[in-house]
Amino acid sequence: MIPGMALSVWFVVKIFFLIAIGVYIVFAFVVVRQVGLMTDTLEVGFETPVRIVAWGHLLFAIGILILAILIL
Amino acid sequence: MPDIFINSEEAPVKKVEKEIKKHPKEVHRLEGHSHSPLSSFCYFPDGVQFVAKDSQEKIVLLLRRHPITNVPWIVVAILMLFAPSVLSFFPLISFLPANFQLVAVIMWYLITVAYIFESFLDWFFSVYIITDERVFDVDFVNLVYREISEANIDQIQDVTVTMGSVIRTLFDFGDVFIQTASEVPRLEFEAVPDPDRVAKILRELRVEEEKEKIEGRVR
Repeated sequence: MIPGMALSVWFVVKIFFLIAIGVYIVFAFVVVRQVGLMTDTLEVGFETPVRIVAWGHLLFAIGILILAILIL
Repeated sequence: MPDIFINSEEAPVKKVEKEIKKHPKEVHRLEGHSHSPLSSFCYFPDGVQFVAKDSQEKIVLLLRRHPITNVPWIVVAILMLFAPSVLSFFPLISFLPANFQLVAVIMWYLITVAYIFESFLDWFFSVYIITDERVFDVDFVNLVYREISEANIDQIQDVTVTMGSVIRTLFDFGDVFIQTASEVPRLEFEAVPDPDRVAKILRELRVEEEKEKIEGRVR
């Protein structure tokens, strides 16, 4: 196989990975909004941990995107 | 025409409500009262606020599906957590370079976390609320779709309790179906703990509503 062609194959795979993580970030953002909607609907005294997990999940997903850009 | 029978006794729920008004700390001694926000059966819960609740309305019962109903998704989550370790024996992604493999595994764990969190949110926020005036069924159908069905206590026509399997009998949980005369013909409380007591509380509240109507009281 030609080295340049192999490189471009992995470049395409990288783009697919980045798109997948990008879609996941959108999903994680929707989860944050969903948690906001849910905690506005019902307050039982457990809203802060739920919000922290939702935001942590979003930040973690963004971290993975940055990691993927750096190492792939 | 003279009254043949006058029931001067108050419904037990109303009695409890009045007792709590007089002595607020008494609520902590009630059977079924819980301070855990993760409780699936809470009688006269503290500090619960609900978007559709009126300021004068008192929450009598907050219900969720029985915790045992979470076992299926917990088992799936455990399998998902251990899947990368197990699958390492089978070279499924070994054709990828090491850095791609690392990102793929991290993405898998990210999806696992999302699955766990979504399943928890679905259980935690899908609640059934009984107030002294109304009954609510709060459903979060998907990520952004919320459905709140409600019926007035005096519109309840029939309450049916079903407990149909060994697991349900063992852990004392079942479905409570509430037939109503409101726009929502039927409210379903699925897999709630102690369904007989839920039905009893609803019956007491209905009796109290009837009495309020007869006496011309609002509350």
